[in-house]
This record gives sequence, structure tokens and C-alpha cells, in this order.
Amino acid sequence: VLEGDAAVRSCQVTLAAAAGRRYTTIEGLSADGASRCQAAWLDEQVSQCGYCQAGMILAVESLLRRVPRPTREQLDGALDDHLCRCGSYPRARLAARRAAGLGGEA
Amino acid sequence: VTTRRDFLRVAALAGGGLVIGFRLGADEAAVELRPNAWLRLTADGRITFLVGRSEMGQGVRTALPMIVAEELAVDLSAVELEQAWPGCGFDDLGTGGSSSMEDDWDRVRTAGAAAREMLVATAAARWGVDVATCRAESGRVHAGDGRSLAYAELVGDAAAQPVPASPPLKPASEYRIVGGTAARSDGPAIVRGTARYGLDVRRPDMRFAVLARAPSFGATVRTFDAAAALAAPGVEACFRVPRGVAVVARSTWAALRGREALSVEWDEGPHAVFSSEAHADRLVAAVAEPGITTRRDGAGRDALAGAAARHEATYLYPFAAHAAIEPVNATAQVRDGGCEIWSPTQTPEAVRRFVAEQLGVAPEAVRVHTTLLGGGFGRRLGWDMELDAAAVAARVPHPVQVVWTREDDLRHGYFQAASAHRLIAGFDAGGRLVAWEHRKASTPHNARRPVTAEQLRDPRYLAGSSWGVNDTPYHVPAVETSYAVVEAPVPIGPWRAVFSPPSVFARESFVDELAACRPPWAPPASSPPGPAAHRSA
Repeated sequence: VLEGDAAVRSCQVTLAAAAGRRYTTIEGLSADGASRCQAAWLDEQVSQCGYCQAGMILAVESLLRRVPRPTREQLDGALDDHLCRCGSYPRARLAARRAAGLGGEA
Repeated sequence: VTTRRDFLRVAALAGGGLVIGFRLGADEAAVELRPNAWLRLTADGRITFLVGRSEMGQGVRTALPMIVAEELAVDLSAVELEQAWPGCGFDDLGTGGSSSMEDDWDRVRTAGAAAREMLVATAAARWGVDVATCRAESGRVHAGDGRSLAYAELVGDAAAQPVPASPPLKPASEYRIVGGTAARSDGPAIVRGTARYGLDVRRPDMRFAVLARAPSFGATVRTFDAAAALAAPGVEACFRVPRGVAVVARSTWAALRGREALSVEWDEGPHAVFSSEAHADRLVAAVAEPGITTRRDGAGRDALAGAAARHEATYLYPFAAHAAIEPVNATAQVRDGGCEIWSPTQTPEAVRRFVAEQLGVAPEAVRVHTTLLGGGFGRRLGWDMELDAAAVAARVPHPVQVVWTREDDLRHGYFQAASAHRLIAGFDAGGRLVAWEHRKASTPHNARRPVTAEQLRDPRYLAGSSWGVNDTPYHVPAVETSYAVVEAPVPIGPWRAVFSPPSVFARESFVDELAACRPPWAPPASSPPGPAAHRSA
């Protein structure tokens, strides 16, 4: 989830610690499901089973809010801690670059 | 072949969870065309495809609809999806072995083509023209003179047509959808967070449970003291079930806190001292000598004696857990002499059968809802999680979701068996590979299908457990492969590609070594794998 603009793990935040802070879940990221990362994820057909994708999308969204013009290395770094058991990483990297307005090869 | 050849004219739309909320005229709602288990076309223009396989990321909820849309001659976007369930008319809902497309290609094409032919015949009869002058395209039947009718206008009368057993199938040259790229049907739901996996199942007034599980394989509960667990906030019940002690609470967190407070005394049984390290030593010792031969070409291992040079290596592969990203879970509700199960399962029919058996009810009294799967890899070919959920739900007047933590998953699933591999290559004086031996030591058990002592001595059975060993794609004049059974009290079961990964890891690592050893040794020539190639979980 996003805590403000920072990506945090919801299971690591207690309600007491959340008091007074603003959180955004994947469901609340956009009204139409067409935010830059969601659209890029669909364009690149990233998802396989899809279970891990909410975390990846919010991690990249968090980076883009804080660093509007990130490097490829920064984008890869945002995805660093995310495990995808299906192996969607190459497409996730492409989608992150697309969302950031960077083109190019994997 | 699954084909329900009855036609249904029903007084209302049947079994349609998806149609709730739609208001139809009485006449429109009265008719549907149901030529087989896969398809339901209604007079309001809806086309529903029942997906008879579990979606775990392989894209089956996109690929199968592509096939049916192709033959039915409708746009892919016109096809609505409904997940099939045991008892809804399918012979086989299991999803494993990477075979969904292979198994369903002909059947789903035929299902779509049968409906198309019935609609075309209906239109031709209504117009009084030859069927051969009519064609189906984009959800309409077109006559040669330019007239056309939408499928929705035809389904009522089409339901009176006989179902063609062998309808003509489109030639590949006419494909518009198959062979192309389609957006994943669940893609938008996944990026919006609205895709529903097993762990997302929510039922009115539901409870959550975890099990205190055995500290060693085969351990049983001797006694337990639930007082402290029951004192934890939100914990409502605590009782023994076949695989441990259940803690039922109003939230998963409360159940976990209750489990921490629970005091269980275990009878650890004979396997408390089992260790992976000691087992690995036994595996390596077992490949010091050949096991039971599972393949022998030419002079087999005897050819090694005459080789000008040899290279040997031993590989060890550990027990592997599935670790699907969606934690193992299942939700059950037991009431009114029946049971409902919601589960991310690869094997809904087995779930129905074994839950019914455990509860002592008829299979028809168990309704299984298959959710999306957050990864499968063979773990969800098991039904232990649903049996846990049913055992807990049978004692609680609520729907109950039994959740496995990651630790539960890694300790209490079934595993891909650990194995050791000894590979020996022999070369002639010219550096050509002339002899190949691959010994495997492992445990060919299967938690889902017990193995007999006779099978463990049967070369044919062991050969069937030797994928990646006895189906080596390399052409070598003399080959001998063998299997040495090393028992382990560890639950073993299908894990993605089942027996192959450790064996192929060893085999291909060895080929790398041979290549790196040149000169004087040359790597073996490659050729495509034969028909006994790998199957995956």
C-alpha cells in the first residue's frame, strides 16, 4: 500500500502506527483502473497469476511520485524486493519503464 | 468426451450467478441454448463460456475462450466467463501436467462449432434457404442475399436442433482469433485489485482459523491446553482436528495470537530425529553404486570400462517446497447436511470427493467453488487444505477460512523429493562421448497416490519416475540409467514438472562440465527430445 507516497507493506503496519496517516491500496489507486502504472501493466501483459502485481504496481507508482524522471536503475530498484513466483520480472521491468515514459529493450 | 447433449428449455435462466441483476422480459428469459457443458447462449444475447480448468497464471481463462469464440464466430469480448464446478457437466476439471490446451483444443473447438452449426441451421430453416448458403460471423448468421439474424434471435429455435457430434471445424487459414494475441481476461481485475483469489473469499459472518501443526513428520497430538488460547482476544474455539489443533477466531491475526498461546503436547513419533543433512548423506551414499536399471542402450555401463577417458560428478538437490505466492488456504461452510468449499484448487473434483468422504455425505452435497489461484505449481493438486477447512467448519456454525502462514506452507506442504545424482561419461581415444551413466537416488513417493513396496522394486515403475534421467536427449552409443530408492518420512508430491527439475539440473550441469573439460573431451551431440519428454505439474 502507499503510505502517503511511500510504498509500505500493509502487514507490517499496525493500526496504532497508521493513525493520522493516509493510505492508498491498489483498489484506490485510480477510479478507472487506468493510472499510468495500471495501464502500463496491461499494455505489457505483465501478470501471470497476478497475486504479487499490486505490490509491484504500487512500488513503481511510489517511485514515480517521488522521482518523476527515474533512471532504469531506480526503476529496477523499486522492484527489487518483490518476488514473483511465476517469473513476470522481465515484463514488469518493461511496464515500469513504460509508466515512467522510458522506452527501450529489457 | 464431455458433451451434455440435452437441450434445456427452462422457465428461467438456470444456474446463473452472473445474470443476477439483469432485468429481462419474460419471453427473453425463457430460452437458452445449452448444446454442451461449455456453452450457454441466451435470448438476451449473452454468451457464457464455462471455464473447466483452473487459472493459476498460465492464461487458460483467456486461451480457452479464444478457441470457443473462434469456432462460434463471435468476438472474444462477447464471451462472458463462468468457472465450472464439479457436477456441472464436465468429466474432468483437473489442471495439471501442462495439458489444458492439449486436452481441450479439440473439445472446445467442437463445442463452439456445434453451437454455431445449430444457429446457422436454425436461420436457414427460418429463411427457407439452403444451409450451405449461410455463414456465421461476429455473432450473426448471414444469408447469401444479405439478410442476417443475430444469435440472440435464434437461440430459442436452435435449442430444438439436434447437436451435431462432429461439426465442421474452421480451417486454420480462416482463424481470426486463434494464433493471435489477446489481452488477458483477468488482467484489468488484477491491476485494479479486484481479482478474487482463495484468500480473498469473504462470506457473511465468517471466521478464520489456523492449525497448530505437527513439529515433525507423523507427529500426533497427545494433549493440549486451550485455556490461554481461548483467553486471547477474538479467539472463539479451539479443538482437535485430524492434522493438529484448530484455533478459530474472528480474524486471522487473532487466530495466530491464539495459536501462539496454545499449549500442545505432541507424540513426535519415530521421525522426530529425521534431518535433511543426514538424508542427503544417505542419498550420496546410495549413488556410489548403481541402482535398479531404468534404461540400457548398447553395452550400458560396461562400456565405461573400455573408455579411453572418464569424467564423473555427483550432484545433490534438496527437498523443494512449492511456496506459491498466495498462501495455502481454503474456506468451508458445513450446514444442512452439505458443504460449500471455496478454494484456489487445481483439482476441484478430488476436493469434492474427499471432502464428502470425510464428512460422510454424498459428493452431490458438496459444492466446490474454484477461485483464481495465486500460483499452483502442483501444490494445489492436493486437497489437504480443503480437508482441514471442512474439518474445522464441521464444528463451527460459520463459514471458516483456514489460513496457512508461510511457515506452515514451507513446513507442512508436500515436497519435491531430495535426490542425488552421479553421472559418469566415457570417451574414446578421439574424444567422442561413447558411454553415459546417470544414477539417481531419491524417493518416488507421491502423497496423493501411495506407492507400494512392489512398485519400489519394479524397474518399469522407477523408469516412470525417472523423467530427466532415462529420457536424456543426447545420443550416446552406450547408456545406462538407474534408480536407487532411499526412503524418507517426508510427504512427497507433484511439484512443477514433478521428477524432472533435479534430474535435468544434474544432467545439464554435467554436460556443462564436459564442455568445459575439452580437450580431450567433446560435449555430446544434441538432438530434440523424444516423445517421452517432460510433463510438468
